[in-house]
Amino acid sequence: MNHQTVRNKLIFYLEERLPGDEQQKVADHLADCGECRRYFELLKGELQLLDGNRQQEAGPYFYAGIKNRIEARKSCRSFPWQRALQPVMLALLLAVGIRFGIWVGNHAQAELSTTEQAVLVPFDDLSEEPIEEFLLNVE
Amino acid sequence: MTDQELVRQINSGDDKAFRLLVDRHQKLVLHTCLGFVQDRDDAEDLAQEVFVDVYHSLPKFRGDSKLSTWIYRMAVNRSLNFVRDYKRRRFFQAIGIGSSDDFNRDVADESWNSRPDHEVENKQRRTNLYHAINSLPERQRVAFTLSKLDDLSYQDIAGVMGLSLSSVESLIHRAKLGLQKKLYQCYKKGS
Ligand SMILES: [Zn+2]
Repeated sequence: MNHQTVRNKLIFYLEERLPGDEQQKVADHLADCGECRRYFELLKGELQLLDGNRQQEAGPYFYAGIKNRIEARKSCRSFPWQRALQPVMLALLLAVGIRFGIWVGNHAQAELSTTEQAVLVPFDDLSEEPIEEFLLNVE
Repeated sequence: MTDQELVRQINSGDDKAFRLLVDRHQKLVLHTCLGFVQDRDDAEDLAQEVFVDVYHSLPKFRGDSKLSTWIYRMAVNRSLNFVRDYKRRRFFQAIGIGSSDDFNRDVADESWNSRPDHEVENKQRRTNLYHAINSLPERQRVAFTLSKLDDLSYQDIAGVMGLSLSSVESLIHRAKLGLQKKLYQCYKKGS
């Protein structure tokens, strides 16, 4: 068995779900190969963390916490208009956002045209003084 | 007291009956949440929220499935929503939008300066593991996580997920292969 094949079977090896001879082949490979063994140890450690979850117990105030939350939710429900207002506020915010986007767009467009003019100035100079005249002056 | 009697009593406003329901099922709910959520306190908060949902939804419980199956389903849905919200918060933090509270909480969670080395190492391993689990496709993640709980057969998982037994077996098998691959990538990066 090569390293790759062994690494693809390790999780099942750990659960002892491989058919008999494969279980043995993986064990033999791990005994000889340090690299695969190191990864196996890591995988085993990681998966043991999940097993550890099963030992966890709820805290002493678990039930009291639930009752508090039920009461809190009841008082929230006595103001249903808050829930109704949420989508309205969201739509309003979206409209303001779009308006702002348009404003920024227009503003940028205006600035861009000023920049274009500034860049065009030397060409205007050139048209005022034709190239032939310029060459004559140089001579 | 049977589940049906318990539900009837809770719906008629009997607090003791609700307490009994919580006592009976709190472990399974907490363990389900812990399967999805890395932080223990978050998982306990979430488990409490599940029972609040249960309390408010009990009048709608028809008894078509076992009460425990119905509660597992609520715990799974709550946990998946939590993970989605968490991923969304992390995304907004990464691009620089998000509440400073969230940010400070995460920083505090990840620094662990005052803890002994083995706890920091355990925390890192837990982070790697949950990162790998949460990057699996959703149905694989649910099937795998439920398969790690006590007292839950593949048939029960099929009931919770509303799938056939063979689908569940296939999802769990693929989840294990995927998880193994992700953890190997993590191992290669670390070494
Ligand atoms: Zn090897």
